[in-house]
Amino acid sequence: MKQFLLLLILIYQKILSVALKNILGVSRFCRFLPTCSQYAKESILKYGALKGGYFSIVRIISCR
Amino acid sequence: MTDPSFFNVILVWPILNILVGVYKLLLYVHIPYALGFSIILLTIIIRFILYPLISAQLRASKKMQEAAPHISKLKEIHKGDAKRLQAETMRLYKERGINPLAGCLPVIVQLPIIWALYYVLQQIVDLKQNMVVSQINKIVYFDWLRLTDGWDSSFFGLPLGASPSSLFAKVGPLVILVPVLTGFFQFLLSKMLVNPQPQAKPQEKEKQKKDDFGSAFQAQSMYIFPIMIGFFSYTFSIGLSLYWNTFTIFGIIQQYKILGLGGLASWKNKIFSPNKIQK
Repeated sequence: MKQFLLLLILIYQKILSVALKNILGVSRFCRFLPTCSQYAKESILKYGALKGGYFSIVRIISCR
Repeated sequence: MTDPSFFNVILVWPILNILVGVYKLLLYVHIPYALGFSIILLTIIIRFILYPLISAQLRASKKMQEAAPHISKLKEIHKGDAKRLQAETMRLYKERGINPLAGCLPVIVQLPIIWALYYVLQQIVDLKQNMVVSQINKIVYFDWLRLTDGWDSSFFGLPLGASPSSLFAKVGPLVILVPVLTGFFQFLLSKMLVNPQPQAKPQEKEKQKKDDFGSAFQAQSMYIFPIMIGFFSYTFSIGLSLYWNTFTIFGIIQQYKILGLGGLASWKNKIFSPNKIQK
Protein backbone atom coordinates (compact mmCIF):
# COMPACT_ATOMS: atom_id res chain seq x y z
CA MET A 1 0.00 0.00 0.00
CA LYS A 2 2.71 2.39 1.05
CA GLN A 3 4.83 1.53 -1.96
CA PHE A 4 1.82 1.87 -4.23
CA LEU A 5 0.99 5.36 -2.94
CA LEU A 6 4.60 6.43 -3.25
CA LEU A 7 4.65 5.14 -6.82
CA LEU A 8 1.49 7.14 -7.62
CA ILE A 9 3.08 10.28 -6.21
CA LEU A 10 6.25 9.63 -8.20
CA ILE A 11 4.23 9.23 -11.42
CA TYR A 12 2.39 12.44 -10.65
CA GLN A 13 5.57 14.38 -9.91
CA LYS A 14 7.60 13.14 -12.84
CA ILE A 15 4.99 12.92 -15.58
CA LEU A 16 1.60 14.42 -14.82
CA SER A 17 2.81 17.55 -13.08
CA VAL A 18 5.39 18.27 -15.78
CA ALA A 19 2.85 17.70 -18.54
CA LEU A 20 0.24 19.92 -16.87
CA LYS A 21 2.71 22.74 -16.33
CA ASN A 22 3.73 22.63 -19.98
CA ILE A 23 0.19 22.45 -21.28
CA LEU A 24 -1.21 25.20 -19.09
CA GLY A 25 1.92 27.30 -19.25
CA VAL A 26 2.31 27.67 -15.51
CA SER A 27 5.69 27.29 -13.89
CA ARG A 28 4.21 26.14 -10.58
CA PHE A 29 0.74 25.78 -9.26
CA CYS A 30 1.06 24.65 -5.67
CA ARG A 31 1.05 27.48 -3.20
CA PHE A 32 2.69 25.45 -0.48
CA LEU A 33 6.34 24.81 0.08
CA PRO A 34 7.26 21.95 0.10
CA THR A 35 4.63 21.28 -2.53
CA CYS A 36 1.64 19.12 -1.69
CA SER A 37 3.01 16.11 -3.52
CA GLN A 38 6.40 16.40 -1.82
CA TYR A 39 4.70 16.81 1.55
CA ALA A 40 2.55 13.73 0.88
CA LYS A 41 5.59 11.70 -0.08
CA GLU A 42 7.50 12.67 3.04
CA SER A 43 4.60 12.20 5.43
CA ILE A 44 3.75 8.78 4.00
CA LEU A 45 7.39 7.77 4.36
CA LYS A 46 7.44 9.02 7.94
CA TYR A 47 4.01 8.06 9.28
CA GLY A 48 2.90 5.25 6.96
CA ALA A 49 0.16 5.04 4.37
CA LEU A 50 -2.81 5.61 6.66
CA LYS A 51 -1.70 8.46 8.89
CA GLY A 52 0.55 10.04 6.28
CA GLY A 53 -2.20 9.78 3.70
CA TYR A 54 -4.61 11.46 6.10
CA PHE A 55 -2.16 14.35 6.65
CA SER A 56 -1.75 14.68 2.89
CA ILE A 57 -5.47 14.91 2.28
CA VAL A 58 -5.85 17.52 5.05
CA ARG A 59 -3.04 19.46 3.44
CA ILE A 60 -4.59 19.36 -0.03
CA ILE A 61 -7.99 20.41 1.31
CA SER A 62 -6.43 23.30 3.24
CA CYS A 63 -5.45 24.76 -0.14
CA ARG A 64 -8.93 26.20 -0.29
CA MET B 1 -22.29 11.62 -26.98
CA THR B 2 -26.09 11.74 -27.02
CA ASP B 3 -26.73 9.87 -23.77
CA PRO B 4 -27.55 12.17 -20.83
CA SER B 5 -24.63 11.32 -18.55
CA PHE B 6 -23.42 13.90 -16.03
CA PHE B 7 -20.30 14.79 -18.01
CA ASN B 8 -22.30 15.16 -21.22
CA VAL B 9 -25.04 17.33 -19.72
CA ILE B 10 -22.72 19.60 -17.75
CA LEU B 11 -19.86 20.06 -20.21
CA VAL B 12 -20.16 18.29 -23.55
CA TRP B 13 -23.57 19.56 -24.64
CA PRO B 14 -23.00 23.24 -23.81
CA ILE B 15 -19.68 23.19 -25.66
CA LEU B 16 -21.27 21.38 -28.59
CA ASN B 17 -24.04 23.97 -28.76
CA ILE B 18 -21.51 26.78 -28.89
CA LEU B 19 -19.71 24.91 -31.65
CA VAL B 20 -22.88 24.43 -33.68
CA GLY B 21 -23.80 28.10 -33.12
CA VAL B 22 -20.41 29.25 -34.39
CA TYR B 23 -20.68 26.84 -37.31
CA LYS B 24 -24.13 28.15 -38.26
CA LEU B 25 -22.85 31.72 -38.10
CA LEU B 26 -19.86 30.97 -40.32
CA LEU B 27 -22.11 29.09 -42.71
CA TYR B 28 -24.45 32.07 -42.80
CA VAL B 29 -21.66 34.43 -43.91
CA HIS B 30 -20.43 31.81 -46.42
CA ILE B 31 -17.01 31.19 -44.92
CA PRO B 32 -15.43 28.16 -46.58
CA TYR B 33 -14.26 25.25 -44.41
CA ALA B 34 -16.76 26.40 -41.79
CA LEU B 35 -16.28 23.38 -39.53
CA GLY B 36 -12.51 23.80 -39.27
CA PHE B 37 -12.84 27.50 -38.53
CA SER B 38 -15.57 26.79 -35.97
CA ILE B 39 -13.12 24.52 -34.12
CA ILE B 40 -10.58 27.36 -34.06
CA LEU B 41 -13.17 29.92 -32.94
CA LEU B 42 -14.62 27.61 -30.30
CA THR B 43 -11.17 27.09 -28.80
CA ILE B 44 -10.57 30.84 -28.76
CA ILE B 45 -13.95 31.45 -27.08
CA ILE B 46 -13.19 28.87 -24.39
CA ARG B 47 -9.74 30.34 -23.81
CA PHE B 48 -11.26 33.79 -23.46
CA ILE B 49 -13.66 32.42 -20.84
CA LEU B 50 -10.71 30.90 -18.99
CA TYR B 51 -8.55 34.01 -19.51
CA PRO B 52 -9.01 35.67 -16.10
CA LEU B 53 -8.48 32.37 -14.32
CA ILE B 54 -5.22 31.65 -16.11
CA SER B 55 -4.02 35.26 -15.82
CA ALA B 56 -4.46 35.16 -12.05
CA GLN B 57 -2.54 31.92 -12.00
CA LEU B 58 0.30 33.30 -14.11
CA ARG B 59 0.63 36.41 -11.96
CA ALA B 60 0.62 34.36 -8.79
CA SER B 61 3.23 31.96 -10.10
CA LYS B 62 5.43 34.87 -11.09
CA LYS B 63 5.16 36.39 -7.62
CA MET B 64 5.89 33.03 -6.08
CA GLN B 65 8.97 32.69 -8.21
CA GLU B 66 10.15 36.08 -7.01
CA ALA B 67 9.50 35.05 -3.43
CA ALA B 68 11.36 31.75 -3.77
CA PRO B 69 14.75 33.01 -2.51
CA HIS B 70 13.09 34.51 0.58
CA ILE B 71 11.32 31.25 1.24
CA SER B 72 14.53 29.27 1.09
CA LYS B 73 15.96 31.77 3.60
CA LEU B 74 12.99 31.12 5.86
CA LYS B 75 13.59 27.41 5.44
CA GLU B 76 17.12 27.86 6.68
CA ILE B 77 15.99 29.83 9.73
CA HIS B 78 13.13 27.57 10.78
CA LYS B 79 14.74 24.27 9.94
CA GLY B 80 12.97 21.43 11.76
CA ASP B 81 10.01 23.58 12.82
CA ALA B 82 7.57 22.82 10.06
CA LYS B 83 4.62 24.59 11.66
CA ARG B 84 6.54 27.80 12.19
CA LEU B 85 7.90 27.62 8.65
CA GLN B 86 4.40 27.18 7.27
CA ALA B 87 3.12 30.18 9.24
CA GLU B 88 6.06 32.34 8.20
CA THR B 89 5.63 31.32 4.55
CA MET B 90 1.96 32.27 4.65
CA ARG B 91 2.88 35.59 6.26
CA LEU B 92 5.39 36.24 3.47
CA TYR B 93 2.75 35.44 0.86
CA LYS B 94 0.39 37.89 2.48
CA GLU B 95 3.04 40.61 2.64
CA ARG B 96 3.87 40.22 -1.01
CA GLY B 97 0.24 40.11 -2.02
CA ILE B 98 0.32 36.59 -3.34
CA ASN B 99 -3.29 35.70 -3.88
CA PRO B 100 -4.18 32.71 -1.74
CA LEU B 101 -7.02 31.96 -4.16
CA ALA B 102 -4.57 31.05 -6.86
CA GLY B 103 -3.79 27.62 -5.50
CA CYS B 104 -4.56 24.45 -7.31
CA LEU B 105 -8.20 25.36 -7.94
CA PRO B 106 -7.73 27.12 -11.31
CA VAL B 107 -5.96 24.03 -12.59
CA ILE B 108 -8.68 21.72 -11.28
CA VAL B 109 -11.38 23.88 -12.90
CA GLN B 110 -9.62 24.02 -16.24
CA LEU B 111 -8.89 20.33 -16.68
CA PRO B 112 -12.46 19.07 -17.20
CA ILE B 113 -13.12 21.92 -19.65
CA ILE B 114 -10.01 21.14 -21.69
CA TRP B 115 -10.91 17.47 -21.58
CA ALA B 116 -14.51 18.13 -22.64
CA LEU B 117 -13.34 20.26 -25.54
CA TYR B 118 -11.02 17.48 -26.66
CA TYR B 119 -13.82 14.95 -26.27
CA VAL B 120 -16.35 17.03 -28.23
CA LEU B 121 -13.97 17.58 -31.11
CA GLN B 122 -12.94 13.96 -31.28
CA GLN B 123 -16.59 12.92 -31.48
CA ILE B 124 -17.37 15.61 -34.04
CA VAL B 125 -14.60 14.74 -36.46
CA ASP B 126 -15.34 11.03 -36.13
CA LEU B 127 -19.06 11.40 -36.97
CA LYS B 128 -20.03 9.64 -40.17
CA GLN B 129 -21.47 11.94 -42.82
CA ASN B 130 -24.91 10.30 -42.75
CA MET B 131 -25.03 10.49 -38.93
CA VAL B 132 -24.18 14.19 -38.53
CA VAL B 133 -27.66 15.66 -38.86
CA SER B 134 -29.47 13.12 -36.68
CA GLN B 135 -26.84 13.07 -33.92
CA ILE B 136 -26.32 16.82 -33.68
CA ASN B 137 -30.02 17.63 -33.79
CA LYS B 138 -30.55 15.41 -30.74
CA ILE B 139 -28.34 17.65 -28.64
CA VAL B 140 -28.95 21.24 -29.79
CA TYR B 141 -30.88 23.43 -27.32
CA PHE B 142 -32.73 25.64 -29.81
CA ASP B 143 -34.57 25.01 -33.03
CA TRP B 144 -32.53 27.54 -34.97
CA LEU B 145 -29.39 25.53 -34.21
CA ARG B 146 -30.76 22.48 -36.02
CA LEU B 147 -28.75 21.30 -38.96
CA THR B 148 -30.46 20.59 -42.26
CA ASP B 149 -27.48 19.18 -44.16
CA GLY B 150 -24.31 17.38 -43.19
CA TRP B 151 -21.17 19.43 -43.01
CA ASP B 152 -18.05 19.63 -45.11
CA SER B 153 -15.56 17.91 -42.83
CA SER B 154 -12.46 19.01 -44.68
CA PHE B 155 -10.10 21.89 -43.98
CA PHE B 156 -8.05 23.21 -46.91
CA GLY B 157 -8.31 19.83 -48.56
CA LEU B 158 -7.42 17.80 -45.45
CA PRO B 159 -10.20 15.71 -43.87
CA LEU B 160 -10.54 16.82 -40.23
CA GLY B 161 -11.22 13.27 -39.07
CA ALA B 162 -8.04 11.74 -40.53
CA SER B 163 -4.64 11.73 -38.85
CA PRO B 164 -1.37 12.80 -40.51
CA SER B 165 -0.17 9.18 -40.29
CA SER B 166 -3.12 7.94 -42.35
CA LEU B 167 -2.83 10.85 -44.78
CA PHE B 168 0.88 10.37 -45.37
CA ALA B 169 0.44 8.02 -48.33
CA LYS B 170 -2.36 10.06 -49.87
CA VAL B 171 -1.26 13.65 -49.41
CA GLY B 172 2.49 13.18 -49.28
CA PRO B 173 5.30 14.12 -46.91
CA LEU B 174 4.07 17.71 -46.55
CA VAL B 175 1.56 16.47 -43.99
CA ILE B 176 4.52 16.04 -41.60
CA LEU B 177 4.26 19.81 -41.13
CA VAL B 178 1.25 19.26 -38.86
CA PRO B 179 3.11 17.39 -36.08
CA VAL B 180 6.23 19.50 -36.60
CA LEU B 181 4.31 22.74 -36.15
CA THR B 182 2.39 21.33 -33.20
CA GLY B 183 5.64 20.35 -31.52
CA PHE B 184 7.20 23.71 -32.36
CA PHE B 185 4.41 25.79 -30.78
CA GLN B 186 4.47 23.57 -27.71
CA PHE B 187 8.22 24.07 -27.52
CA LEU B 188 7.83 27.87 -27.64
CA LEU B 189 5.42 27.73 -24.71
CA SER B 190 7.64 25.35 -22.74
CA LYS B 191 10.68 27.49 -23.44
CA MET B 192 8.89 30.57 -22.11
CA LEU B 193 8.29 28.75 -18.84
CA VAL B 194 11.94 28.23 -18.06
CA ASN B 195 13.13 30.86 -15.67
CA PRO B 196 15.84 32.88 -17.47
CA GLN B 197 17.90 33.77 -14.39
CA PRO B 198 18.83 30.78 -12.29
CA GLN B 199 18.97 31.91 -8.68
CA ALA B 200 21.73 30.77 -6.38
CA LYS B 201 19.98 29.30 -3.40
CA PRO B 202 21.74 29.18 -0.06
CA GLN B 203 20.76 25.68 0.87
CA GLU B 204 22.20 22.42 2.01
CA LYS B 205 24.32 20.65 -0.54
CA GLU B 206 22.04 17.67 -0.82
CA LYS B 207 19.01 19.87 -1.32
CA GLN B 208 20.85 21.83 -3.98
CA LYS B 209 21.65 18.63 -5.81
CA LYS B 210 17.98 17.77 -5.74
CA ASP B 211 17.10 21.21 -7.03
CA ASP B 212 19.65 20.89 -9.80
CA PHE B 213 18.11 17.62 -10.76
CA GLY B 214 14.70 19.25 -10.72
CA SER B 215 15.70 22.15 -12.94
CA ALA B 216 17.63 19.84 -15.25
CA PHE B 217 14.50 17.79 -15.50
CA GLN B 218 12.47 20.87 -16.30
CA ALA B 219 15.01 21.81 -18.96
CA GLN B 220 14.85 18.31 -20.41
CA SER B 221 11.07 18.28 -20.40
CA MET B 222 11.26 21.47 -22.43
CA TYR B 223 12.56 19.32 -25.30
CA ILE B 224 10.99 15.97 -24.57
CA PHE B 225 7.46 17.20 -24.04
CA PRO B 226 7.08 19.04 -27.38
CA ILE B 227 8.47 16.00 -29.20
CA MET B 228 5.92 13.82 -27.46
CA ILE B 229 3.13 16.21 -28.39
CA GLY B 230 4.39 16.16 -31.97
CA PHE B 231 4.20 12.37 -32.04
CA PHE B 232 0.70 12.44 -30.58
CA SER B 233 -0.49 14.87 -33.20
CA TYR B 234 0.92 12.59 -35.90
CA THR B 235 -1.59 9.93 -34.86
CA PHE B 236 -4.42 12.26 -33.76
CA SER B 237 -6.89 13.67 -36.24
CA ILE B 238 -6.30 16.99 -38.01
CA GLY B 239 -9.29 18.49 -36.19
CA LEU B 240 -7.67 17.84 -32.82
CA SER B 241 -4.38 19.33 -33.99
CA LEU B 242 -6.30 22.41 -35.04
CA TYR B 243 -7.73 22.66 -31.52
CA TRP B 244 -4.42 21.97 -29.84
CA ASN B 245 -2.45 24.52 -31.85
CA THR B 246 -5.05 27.22 -31.34
CA PHE B 247 -4.97 26.41 -27.65
CA THR B 248 -1.17 26.61 -27.48
CA ILE B 249 -0.84 29.77 -29.57
CA PHE B 250 -3.42 31.49 -27.40
CA GLY B 251 -1.43 30.32 -24.38
CA ILE B 252 1.78 31.75 -25.84
CA ILE B 253 0.12 35.13 -26.47
CA GLN B 254 -1.41 35.23 -23.01
CA GLN B 255 1.91 34.26 -21.42
CA TYR B 256 3.63 37.03 -23.39
CA LYS B 257 1.05 39.65 -22.42
CA ILE B 258 1.33 38.90 -18.73
CA LEU B 259 4.85 37.67 -18.10
CA GLY B 260 6.77 38.79 -21.19
CA LEU B 261 9.06 36.54 -23.16
CA GLY B 262 10.39 34.53 -20.23
CA GLY B 263 12.89 31.94 -21.42
CA LEU B 264 12.54 33.16 -25.00
CA ALA B 265 14.25 36.45 -24.14
CA SER B 266 17.71 34.93 -24.63
CA TRP B 267 16.71 33.90 -28.15
CA LYS B 268 15.49 37.36 -28.92
CA ASN B 269 18.84 38.77 -27.87
CA LYS B 270 20.68 36.25 -30.01
CA ILE B 271 18.58 37.11 -33.04
CA PHE B 272 18.46 40.87 -32.70
CA SER B 273 21.72 41.90 -31.07
CA PRO B 274 24.00 41.00 -34.04
CA ASN B 275 21.96 43.43 -36.14
CA LYS B 276 22.55 46.18 -33.64
CA ILE B 277 26.31 45.63 -33.81
CA GLN B 278 26.18 45.88 -37.60
CA LYS B 279 24.36 49.15 -37.41
